[in-house]
Amino acid sequence: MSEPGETDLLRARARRIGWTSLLGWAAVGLLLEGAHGFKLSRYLDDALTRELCTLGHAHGVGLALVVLVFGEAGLPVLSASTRGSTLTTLALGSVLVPSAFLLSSIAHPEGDPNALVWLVPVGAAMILAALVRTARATWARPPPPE
Amino acid sequence: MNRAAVALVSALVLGSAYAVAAGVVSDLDTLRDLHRSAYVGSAACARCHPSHDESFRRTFHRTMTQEATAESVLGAFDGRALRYGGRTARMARADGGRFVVEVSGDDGRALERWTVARLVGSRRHQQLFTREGDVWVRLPIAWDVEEGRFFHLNGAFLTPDPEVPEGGRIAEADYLRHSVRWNDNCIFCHNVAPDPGLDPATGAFDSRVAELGVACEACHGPGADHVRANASPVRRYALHASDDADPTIVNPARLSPERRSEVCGRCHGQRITDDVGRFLAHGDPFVPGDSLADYSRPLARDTPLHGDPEAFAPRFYGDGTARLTAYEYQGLLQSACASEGALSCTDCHGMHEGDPRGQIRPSALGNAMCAGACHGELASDDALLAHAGHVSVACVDCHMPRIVYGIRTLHRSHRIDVPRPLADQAAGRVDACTLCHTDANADWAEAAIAAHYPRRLAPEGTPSTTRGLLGGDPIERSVSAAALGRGTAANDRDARLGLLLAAMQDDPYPAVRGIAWRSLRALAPTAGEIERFTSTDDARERRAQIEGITRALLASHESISSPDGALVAELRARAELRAIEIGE
Repeated sequence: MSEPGETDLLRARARRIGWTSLLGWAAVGLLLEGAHGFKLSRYLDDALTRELCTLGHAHGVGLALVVLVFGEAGLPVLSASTRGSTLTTLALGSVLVPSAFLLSSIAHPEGDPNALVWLVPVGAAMILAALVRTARATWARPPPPE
Repeated sequence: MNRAAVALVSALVLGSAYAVAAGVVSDLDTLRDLHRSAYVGSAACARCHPSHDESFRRTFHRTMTQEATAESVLGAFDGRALRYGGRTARMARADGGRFVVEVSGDDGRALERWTVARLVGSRRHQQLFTREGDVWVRLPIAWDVEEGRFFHLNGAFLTPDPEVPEGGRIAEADYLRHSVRWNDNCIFCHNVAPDPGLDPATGAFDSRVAELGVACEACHGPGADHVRANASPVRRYALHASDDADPTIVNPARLSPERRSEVCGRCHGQRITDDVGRFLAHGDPFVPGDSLADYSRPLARDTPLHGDPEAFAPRFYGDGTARLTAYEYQGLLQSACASEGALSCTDCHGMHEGDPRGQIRPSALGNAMCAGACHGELASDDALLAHAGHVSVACVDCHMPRIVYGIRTLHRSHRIDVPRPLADQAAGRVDACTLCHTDANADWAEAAIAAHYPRRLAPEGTPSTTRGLLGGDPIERSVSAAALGRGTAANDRDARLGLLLAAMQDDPYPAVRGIAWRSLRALAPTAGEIERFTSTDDARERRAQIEGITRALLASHESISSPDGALVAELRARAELRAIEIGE
């Protein structure tokens, strides 16, 4: 039985992050459905809160899937020197964006999310940076086998 | 290379952030002349202020003026008729769903057919306007929201019954007596940024408003600069994080009490200007935050009109207290609570909270405002009893009595003062004491106050409300008629029934007869066909209705004590029969 390579370790990390994140954000979706089911007024009466929570849930689930896909199909196309940092950047961004949406709904000023929403573009920039790096790699020549 | 690129990007980002932040700080420090800003309408405000928009949309301010649509028309245009003055007005829907009022004579001949185009009011009454070219004209029929029926405006304003000639049809001028033009009357107080657009050369109107009804920008000023500036999220979050005012908009809460009240006083305080032509041609230049005195001054009892110092006197009691609604601002200015205590309208009234009917802040209900703000020593029942001799009455019952006539109802005076029964009587007011002690007069009330409220002294002479109901001018008669119908009225029920029936039958003003009917209905809501009584009906029809009501009362073992005939005759002879124009 051979030692796992670096890509295998990173793939395992991506799976852990992706599945755990998917579990968490799917659970948030269940809570939001519960808020509807039990007619929770603090949630239902505030359109902006509803929108931010929905954005958090949707981005969380979607980005968790992106991390999983990245682990399976993104890591192999990147060079060895950039795989780890790209996964870290993508994972951080995919946690930051939905979390910022969700948390910015708490005690928000009228008509705007609270200041934590400013973390959304930061997270989005991280995700975009990771995606740019991965997309560029797919156009480059294949990396040498490990 | 990569490090250099990162450093360059970082420098660019930081530099841009600094420039944006510096620009925002400078922008927030720059005062604006809001007269140069444009209006955007409440829909633009709702995008960023959904809670305030929602709380505003509950109010009757929003629906003060509306186009006539199936959603906005409250009246039952189901073919029902209102007969008055030898004419029958029939309210119905026409082709295309239009709302029409058709007036015909007793012979069935069609006299008028109006299409309702615009509406004013939605809480108590909804007035109907038809469009004639460039103007909107008020129709003589309106809808009483609370009563759920149409009424003729001659029964709402304080003018006597018109002369009824042989044949029973009153003159057209009398039927249309209260027809007014929206363009140079209602427009000013019932809309945002009113501009009649009168061309003085041709007399034509090009009337425009920023928004129909009283919406956000009526109190906050024009919002175009505010909307434009706050499209920047950096600016918005800078404001969220600070307590500083945004110079692109007016927040009345940040104005001084005087300026704050002037925002309300613009409409809740009838005004006069030396430059009527400018107002009619270009609109009212007032923007919230301005001094009202820059453009106009509130009407007072002795304000002259064309050199006549008595022109507006009928709208005020002898001591200058307003007798009509839409003079609340004058009342506030006359109150020590404002002149010595900095009270403003919005201390009691909240535009975004409270019951839309009156918009009293929940924190100001009952005695909470007075005892909570300045008169904390009266917060307990014991202290209140020692102060007023009552615990079951509110501060406003004595200090803001219901002596102000609005259309078909009586309102509280907004001159917050101390009851002085004899002085009030001299000013033509029914004092606050005898509005509840309706079996007593001002002499008793004065003595009772002087003796610090011992138990009831034997009343001598005619009670103030009896004197006011039968012998006062139209507003005194209205005030007394309303007082006799309240649960607080102290005199015997049989005497109140007799007085109110007498007023319903013989008062020469339909508006006063209407108030008396409402009071009687409050006392005996199931008396025969009391709901059918119509104050504008002629004397013969009224007599028949009153006989029916009387029979029903007697059948239910009520006793009715009619006022002494000689007293009625003596007081009626003293009653003033002048018309009091509401002053639109």
